[in-house]
Amino acid sequence: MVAKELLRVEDLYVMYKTDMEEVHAVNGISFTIREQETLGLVGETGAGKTSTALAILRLLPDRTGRIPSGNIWFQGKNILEMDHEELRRLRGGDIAMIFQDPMTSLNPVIPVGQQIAEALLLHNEEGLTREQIEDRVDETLELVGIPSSRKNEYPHQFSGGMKQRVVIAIALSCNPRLLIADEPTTALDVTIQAQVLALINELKEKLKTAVLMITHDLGIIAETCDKVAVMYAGEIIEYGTVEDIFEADKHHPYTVGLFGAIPKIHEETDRLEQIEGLMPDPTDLPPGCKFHPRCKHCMPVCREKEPPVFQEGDHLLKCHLFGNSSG
Amino acid sequence: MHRYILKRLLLVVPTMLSVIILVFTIMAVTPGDPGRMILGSSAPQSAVDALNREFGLHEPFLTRLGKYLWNVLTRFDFGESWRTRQSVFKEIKVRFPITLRLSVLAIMGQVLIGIPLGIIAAVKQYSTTDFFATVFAMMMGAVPGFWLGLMLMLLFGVKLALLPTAGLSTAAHYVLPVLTMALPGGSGLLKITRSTMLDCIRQDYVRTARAKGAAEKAVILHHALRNALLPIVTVVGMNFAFSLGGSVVIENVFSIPGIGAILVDSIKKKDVPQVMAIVIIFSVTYCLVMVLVDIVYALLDPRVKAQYAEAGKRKAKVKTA
Repeated sequence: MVAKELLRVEDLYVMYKTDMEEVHAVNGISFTIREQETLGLVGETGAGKTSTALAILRLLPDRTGRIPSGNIWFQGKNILEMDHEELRRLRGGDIAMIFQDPMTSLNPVIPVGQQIAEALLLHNEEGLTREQIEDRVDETLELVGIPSSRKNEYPHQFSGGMKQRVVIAIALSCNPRLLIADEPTTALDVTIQAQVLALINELKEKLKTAVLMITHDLGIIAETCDKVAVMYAGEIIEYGTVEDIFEADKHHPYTVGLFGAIPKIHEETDRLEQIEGLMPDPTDLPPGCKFHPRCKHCMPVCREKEPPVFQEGDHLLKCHLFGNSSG
Repeated sequence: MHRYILKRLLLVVPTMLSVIILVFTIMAVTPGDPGRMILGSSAPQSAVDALNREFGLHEPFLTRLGKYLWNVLTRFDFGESWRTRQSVFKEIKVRFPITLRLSVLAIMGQVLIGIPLGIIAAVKQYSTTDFFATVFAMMMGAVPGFWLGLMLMLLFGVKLALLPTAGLSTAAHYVLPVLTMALPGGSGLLKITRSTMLDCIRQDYVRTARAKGAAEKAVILHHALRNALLPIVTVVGMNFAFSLGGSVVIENVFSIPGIGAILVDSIKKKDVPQVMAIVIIFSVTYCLVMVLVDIVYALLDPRVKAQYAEAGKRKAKVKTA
């Protein structure tokens, strides 16, 4: 059974334009998320993961962020063509987002209960009364494991993990169809990370929400995702199911490098392996394959031509290594 | 909260003591002979000496200061004016309300000009509105108050003959002096509002509010402004104090019978009890406004309030932010 398509991103470009420079953050990415599916978006810092997420909600900074081309279809409507009112209903209602840093994501001068209630009030399609909304706030807080008696407290009275729970509660309060989790655990310590991930997984099951999980942690991907997209310099260079990414024999050299950077428990290693070099400067991207300056298998063609997409089932690879052999 | 307010109020006492000692000392060490000032240059030296003796000026400085403090603290007696031989409060009672009213109006004007313009300038950063608001703020910040007063007078009073320029007999009389006091202060407020709003607008919680689906107006007013208000309130309080002091100049320009003229006259004539009384009134007002600012601060920011949360009530959990 194939679930209905929920979100389709088509050839999306995002750039940041200032007086001094143009930053090409996202360069023509496409992917689909089906209902109740979890897609992992993985890549180094600066790969364009967050820009993609912000573009989906049209939350890119007004003055600098631009979407020069592409389409984002959500339940058959193009988000890029929505007006203010439609966007307002989309944000928080149909698509909710969990931000990276819980420490700064909550308004310090408003009690947490009110911050959750605000989302409910904004998307109050059922016409709930004030009391019913308060009850919902209590329910949502209990759902994420915070006693509802604490709803009148302010963010500074909560620990980091608890704050992230509040952020999750805000995101889930209106039963969104899609949840964008932008590195939800990066700012938390490891034990809390596990709790938060378990919580997201549990809620995903309970509320039947699709998730776009943005992370640089392959462990999180393995734990939570159905499909994975590996991003590099604003492009998706490998896409497939979790099994494809973790177990298939053909891989993009960058993905191989990413896996190589994880310490192996059964082998004695002194140093972690790393991918030599740095991410290319997004204001001045290299021609051809954007990974070629760091690639161990770099061929002359890589420096000149953008690699074609090689497909094997659902597994997509953007690399000359495979593109050449299979046409 | 009560403890917080009480603590702020108690802090007024040492502040006032320091002000009294400082101003009294300044008045004592600056040159000038009160007896001679009052009696004039043609009076015989013996009469001048007798008058100075009557004022107690033959006694050493510390004795005089001690006596003054003693009278003020135990009997609430601020003495008589040396010039008029009447209670120092007689003139203050009539004139201070005028100055206070001007300052309050000026502050209201500043708030009405500065905060909305500052918000608009921040929300529409680099727009034409922002440009004009910023240029206006720079001009008003650079111009001396008395010059601005004179120019407004010339324009609205003389050339256009729309508004009266001297005295305070009708509501129309208030327009020019209040404007003169409100424009420079308002421009400062505009700048601080703009920069704190710019800062708050870029915060993550504002993005969270947008991601929730809040309308832009609610995002700005409810989420960003509430956080930006903290420094703004402080500046409003400080501007109030400044306009009390600044009224001395403005009252002079617009011939307003406020307290400023008396203060200047008393300083010139070395009328120590009168100067002391006026300075004390100014300082007490200033301190009370600052207490008010602190209270507003606590109301706006739960983190400030939390530090003074009543003892025993979840004290362990309260963190200083």
